[in-house]
Amino acid sequence: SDPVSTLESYFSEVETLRGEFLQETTDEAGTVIEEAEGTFVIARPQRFRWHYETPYEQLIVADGERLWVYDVDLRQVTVRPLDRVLGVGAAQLLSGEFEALTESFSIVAGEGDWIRLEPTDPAWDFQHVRLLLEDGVPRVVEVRDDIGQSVRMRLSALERNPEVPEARFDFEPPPEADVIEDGASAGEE
Amino acid sequence: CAVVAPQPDRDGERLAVEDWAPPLAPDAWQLQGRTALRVGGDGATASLFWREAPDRYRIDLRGAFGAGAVRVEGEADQVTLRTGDGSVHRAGSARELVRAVTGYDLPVEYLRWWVRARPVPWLGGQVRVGAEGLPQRLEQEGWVVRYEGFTEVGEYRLPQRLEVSREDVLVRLVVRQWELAE
Repeated sequence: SDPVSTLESYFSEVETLRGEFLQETTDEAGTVIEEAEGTFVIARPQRFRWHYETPYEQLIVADGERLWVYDVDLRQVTVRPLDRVLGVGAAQLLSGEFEALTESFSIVAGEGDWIRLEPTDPAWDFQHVRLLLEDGVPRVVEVRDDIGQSVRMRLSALERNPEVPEARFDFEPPPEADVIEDGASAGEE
Repeated sequence: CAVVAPQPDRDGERLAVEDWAPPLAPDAWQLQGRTALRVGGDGATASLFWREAPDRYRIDLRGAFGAGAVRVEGEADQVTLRTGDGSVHRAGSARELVRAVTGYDLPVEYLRWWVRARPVPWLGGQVRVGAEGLPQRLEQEGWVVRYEGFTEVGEYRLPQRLEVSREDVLVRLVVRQWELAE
């Protein structure tokens, strides 16, 4: 079946997803400016836990209402409502609903098994999103923005529909971290 | 690279900036790290890529999942700020530009000196100097810069972790990697 309908079936059949990720950021010249790795778990709708282990430790948790970003070295937690988060990227795409996706993007089959998503909603501040599907699950999510930077999230060791306790997505800020309301993300007027 | 242990805050010698001979620092360099920004109850954290040459600099900031990217590029008298959604802003100074776009008043020009454990040359102030002449705490124009650890980079010793604060503004920087430009 064509990639677009495979993507639709991912959203309808995969309720939870667990695995590892490698996030590679390259600049417009194609040089890798950051490579980060860790583990993730997703539960639809809008709950996920993205644990960056290297090169810095960071935990990003969406509890369905708010997005918590805990930077361990920086001892800071920033929290903001999920619906006010601009263009979070791979995690929000993978944990969202197909209908919401089609409201914000036009979905076009790219080359091979790639799918291209072009934002129709200007609030999503990145230009191009590409997904590569493999046996019904997005293996690679690539987000390219207008500075020419591209962030490629590669998923592996995937477990489809594992049992995930609800409490997995509750986030309790540790006592030593400052908790900050992230009002203005950089670049937001 | 070898890590120089963070020096205790107490035993440093307190001097006026004019009387202090700061350690050597490169003027063409690149760093990668993380930064946390706080202004009052508001703030953000970001991945940071910063490249400096004597006549120009580039600072890339990226939020969670690399989204919300911002690039600040500075030349002699012009600074440009680009955001991931393609908008471009220009101003005479980085500080003016960052304030216009994000509302945060950040001493970007000063940070270019402080991040290398150097005082801003045209500002006076106080410094507490620890072992090997490395600063522990630097005060200039009401800003307090706290250094929490250095690392060896070639023949230089550069900060690994610093905090810059004044009133309700706090910038925390953790440097993961320093590189010297050839």
